Amino acid sequence: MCAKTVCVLDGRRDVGETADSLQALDEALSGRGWRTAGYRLAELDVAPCRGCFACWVRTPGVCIVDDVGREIAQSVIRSDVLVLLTPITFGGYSSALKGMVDRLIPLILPYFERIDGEVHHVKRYERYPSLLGIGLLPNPAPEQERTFRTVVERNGINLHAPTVRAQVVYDGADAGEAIVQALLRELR
Amino acid sequence: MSRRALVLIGSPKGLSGSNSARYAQAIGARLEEADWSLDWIHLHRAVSTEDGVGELLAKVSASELVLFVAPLYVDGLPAPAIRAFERIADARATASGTPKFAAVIHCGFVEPVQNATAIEMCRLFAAAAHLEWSGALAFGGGGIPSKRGALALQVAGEALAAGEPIPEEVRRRAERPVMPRWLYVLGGNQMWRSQAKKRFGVSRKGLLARPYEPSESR
Repeated sequence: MCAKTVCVLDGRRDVGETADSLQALDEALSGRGWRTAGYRLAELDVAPCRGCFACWVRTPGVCIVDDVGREIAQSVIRSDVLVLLTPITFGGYSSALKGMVDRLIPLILPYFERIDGEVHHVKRYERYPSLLGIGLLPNPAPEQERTFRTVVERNGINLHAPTVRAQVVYDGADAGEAIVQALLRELR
Repeated sequence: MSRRALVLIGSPKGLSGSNSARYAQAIGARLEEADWSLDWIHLHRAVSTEDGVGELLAKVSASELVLFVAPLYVDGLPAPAIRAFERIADARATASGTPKFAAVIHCGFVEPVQNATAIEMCRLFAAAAHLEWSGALAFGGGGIPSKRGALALQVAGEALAAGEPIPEEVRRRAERPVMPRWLYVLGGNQMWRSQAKKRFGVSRKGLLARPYEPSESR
């Protein structure tokens, strides 16, 4: 059986906590025969999207900006599950995570199609990873949680994810473990 | 003494030549007619240096109205705009005084309603930064001009100039697609093919490239 791959885009600012939970995740998944590609975005220098559309009309499928964002985009499309891990920020993703999510548009085509009555972009690839959004909050915040779930769901449509799930985890000593459990539920 | 408004442009393309700038100028013109003075900040540039962030924070605090205009990026706001919001919200965690905050979000899909989540993020940011939410407009169609859109910008500008929020009814009216979906899909697809061929010599087949296709099946 082919090993499955999970790509984790970690948009948290706290690098120490990030390192711990990604390691725990790696250990939990490797014991089940899964591979993890984790990116601590706060430590990486991913340039923001220029909005130039070169990745659609000039260098199709590849961002014109030659930095680690290209490697991450490749890792995303070759994974089976994409995990977006973030402190919920105004109902959405942190700037660190969103900087990379913005750089994922080379993975789709510029062409339009109708999906469930709305206009969206057409697939570039045959297969896309499932999407799991994990949002961290210090305390319950219904408006932020609702918006976060909506944006993950909308990303699932635009990134052609075969399955989409959003999970909110409240910050605390067991946040790392909660993330592992959320992912394992998704992979089950 | 004139009242001060700060215009935040969230497009990477800068303070001119983008749809964000065009929408902001339309509202800004109404504000200037009502004797407001305008400051403009390009957020991508501002958040790239600490001096830029310092200027941004100072101007937010010194303004009576902050107008944010940005394109929709992957169902949300462009990352540098979120970075700016993070810095403003951090700095204003215990702020007093409530500048008003209004937003205009536009997208390349034909349905303006696809901006709804990004607008909700703007509203949540305003709450976190102790800014008074003054409504929003949403545009679709990749910047295709329309009479309905121009009217919405005019009415929104007049409302903000009078210290009022953008009327919800104006937003709802502007949220109707500018053309039928089938026509937008047809025209949009032709536009992308033509742009790739004419500007960069990329063929129809080349445009479909899959450079990251795995060499082995998963």
